[in-house]
Amino acid sequence: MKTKKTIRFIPAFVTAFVLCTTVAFAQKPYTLDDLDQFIKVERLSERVLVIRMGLTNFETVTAIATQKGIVVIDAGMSPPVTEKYRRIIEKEFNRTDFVYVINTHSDQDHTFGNRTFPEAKIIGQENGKTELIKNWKEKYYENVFNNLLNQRLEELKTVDKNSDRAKQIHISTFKISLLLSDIKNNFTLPLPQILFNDEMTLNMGDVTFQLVYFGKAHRESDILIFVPEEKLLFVGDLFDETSVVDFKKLGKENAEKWFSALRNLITTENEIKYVINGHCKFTMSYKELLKFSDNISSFWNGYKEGKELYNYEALIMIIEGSGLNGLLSEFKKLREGEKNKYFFIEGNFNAIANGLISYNLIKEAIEIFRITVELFPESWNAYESLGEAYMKAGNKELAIENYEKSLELNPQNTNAVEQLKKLRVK
Amino acid sequence: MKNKSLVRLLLIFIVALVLASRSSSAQKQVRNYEIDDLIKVIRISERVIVVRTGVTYFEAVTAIATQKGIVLIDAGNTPQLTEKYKKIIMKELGRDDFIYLINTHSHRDHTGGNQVFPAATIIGHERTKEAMVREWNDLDFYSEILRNGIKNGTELLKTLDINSDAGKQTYYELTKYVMVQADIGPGSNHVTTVPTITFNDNLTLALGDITVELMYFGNAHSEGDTWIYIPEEKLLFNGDVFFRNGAPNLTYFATEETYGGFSDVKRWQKVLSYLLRPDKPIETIVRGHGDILNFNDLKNFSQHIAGIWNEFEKGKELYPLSRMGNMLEKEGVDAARAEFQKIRTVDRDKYFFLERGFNVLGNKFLSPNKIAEAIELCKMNVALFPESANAYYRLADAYVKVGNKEQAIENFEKLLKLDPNNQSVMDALKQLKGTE
Repeated sequence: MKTKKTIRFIPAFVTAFVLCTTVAFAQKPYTLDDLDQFIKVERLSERVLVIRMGLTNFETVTAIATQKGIVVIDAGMSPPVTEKYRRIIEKEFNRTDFVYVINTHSDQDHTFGNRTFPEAKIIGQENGKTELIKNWKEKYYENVFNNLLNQRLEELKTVDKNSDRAKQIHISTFKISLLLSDIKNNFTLPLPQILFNDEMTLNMGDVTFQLVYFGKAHRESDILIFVPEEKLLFVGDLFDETSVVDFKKLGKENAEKWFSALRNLITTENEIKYVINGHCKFTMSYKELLKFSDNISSFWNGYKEGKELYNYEALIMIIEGSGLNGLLSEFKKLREGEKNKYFFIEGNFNAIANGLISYNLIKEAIEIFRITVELFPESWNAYESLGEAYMKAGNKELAIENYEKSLELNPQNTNAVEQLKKLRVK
Repeated sequence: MKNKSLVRLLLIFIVALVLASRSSSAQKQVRNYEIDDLIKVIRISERVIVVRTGVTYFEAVTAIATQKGIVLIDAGNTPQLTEKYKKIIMKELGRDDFIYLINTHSHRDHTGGNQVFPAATIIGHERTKEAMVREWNDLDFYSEILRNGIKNGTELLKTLDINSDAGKQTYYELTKYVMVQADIGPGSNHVTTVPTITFNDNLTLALGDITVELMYFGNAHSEGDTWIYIPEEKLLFNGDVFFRNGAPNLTYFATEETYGGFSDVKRWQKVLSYLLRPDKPIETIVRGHGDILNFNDLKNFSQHIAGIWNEFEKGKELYPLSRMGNMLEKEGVDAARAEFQKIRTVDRDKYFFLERGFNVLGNKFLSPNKIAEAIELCKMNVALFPESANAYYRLADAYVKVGNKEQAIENFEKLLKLDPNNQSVMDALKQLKGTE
């Protein structure tokens, strides 16, 4: 149950760590038609169509055909691209009656495409309107995306031009340039018309949409959308398949709201089967939702005990700044008692360590997994990760020891059995 | 006037006018108007109109013309009448782009015409939707109300000058009942049309030049009461939650069985304190039945709520009025009077009363052979609520029924001191004095 997805703060990370000197000659920039090859359509059921565009990071637009019209969940970033999705939806459902677009939060990559559905009413949490207006006034979109464009173009010089990463950068830079020209030309903010503060239900005859404010988390306008008839949950950008909690907004007050929103939603009665987030390659399952929910419970319990969430991003800075030694002295402080001030999320350690492994920083990853098993001694998953890292580092003895420990904690762990078999044969 | 025009007041008013119109004519008269003539348009502003039917008590639909389309507040009793309102609105506003219809609460006189606007998205509180499904399915209960309404209205109309205000009001009520029965009876084409969008706390519609803020007020008149605030028009809709002068109409907790609804007082206070903020200007309040109120009515209502809440906080309980009702029925007027004395002296710190409770209980004693009990209840009501015009009205009316003109005049006069401009009371007094 290992997730090998690289961590989400890739851009800065990559430029700092990738020592690869591959010289890439920039390909010609993509055109609108070049995007077609990256559009994937998943027909989740007769009524549910999920469209994803990307290669390693995706933009997701979902359409649900109801008795009272088509409801779209999130609308992508650029009207011309979303126009392609619209045509696909019209063709798949053989109808054009778009009635509502629901935004999972206010970010541009979920809302700017709203304008492709001018006949539909836009629905969102009320803070989203404030966020959009504030960002617009502060020229957030110009500033952030001009910078990001430059970063991506720099990065392009360092990666293999035939790699997936290079293609993803091309997609990304094309989307950004569309956005930058969009906001320069007669741009109108895609503000929602129907705004709710806590809960709202949209009854479309055969299909119901239960909208629940999640609280300040990724943004201040994050909502969950549950569709009981399809056992389907939309989580926006709250978590991906790693279930790692990477929120901009933290704090006890918020955590209580997250906890209660999830507690009311994750019931046996609701039988959630499919989970769709904003950027994943695949539709997730109930399993990832439960992991996320466990993480949220840890947050809530941690805050209740008066602790603070450990600052995971600081680990990246430490490694960037002072390497393995910095990491060791940080963990020394934790072991000597500072850990009592914090609460920890296992998945966040995993995400960072897996990211380090993918950039071949095995020693640093091992140190992170070591502290993880100390903090989560009951976690078979943490021991397995540590075993795997030792295996990669060529330390057979410690690899076996940790795989065995993992198997002891979870006798069902077939991967550990397999790895142990391999390790003992060698 | 402290406590005017509860729903029942209409009936009392008609009874009073019966006296007035009876003497004038007994001969057969020709009605010189149609139901359409009883429909009036009140223009609140360039963008807002109220369409209402009735003479003394109305049903009402409000239309607000926004950049994004026409928003409606409530939909009247019946598709037949609401179809007429629709045409009037289209003519008045010169457009037909109905985009939203908001139900302030579930009751049939606010939701019965929902189906007339298929293009509009209907919005209501989640408990309004639940209540609608429940109430609209309880046809037995409603059929009886209709049967009685039609029977009583027909009888009453025979005794009235059909062209008088009382006659017009009764004609409207009767027509309404007949139409509603045709709508929900066997073979009718009525479709229970529930909200498409429900919410639990606040919902806002951003419609260009107009913002429509929907706020759940809590258990009050019904379980799903929604208030609607439009800042650009300094306009508030309070559904049926309070009348002129802020008199509350809080059916939901008016009896001891449901007064637990007062648990929502915190929510009421939250909504009220939001609306009483200086940056939330309110000039006009439109009640669910088309009466136009003002900011003072809201302030009075807020003070009234604070007063009741104060009683609770002093540790008092709401007196179970059904006990008084049983005593009147089984042990008689003297026993009830003794009980009331006890409450007012020994138990004075134990209980408090709500006037609305007396109104509800009073309905049990409407028949002529129970008039002594009714008078006793009305006297208690006046003793407890000496500032309430409605209390005097009920007492005076009861005296009219037993032919006690002296007492009737005395109480009408007390009422007039509280509400000096009440024309219908002045008329009733003139009538009483004239027949002396």
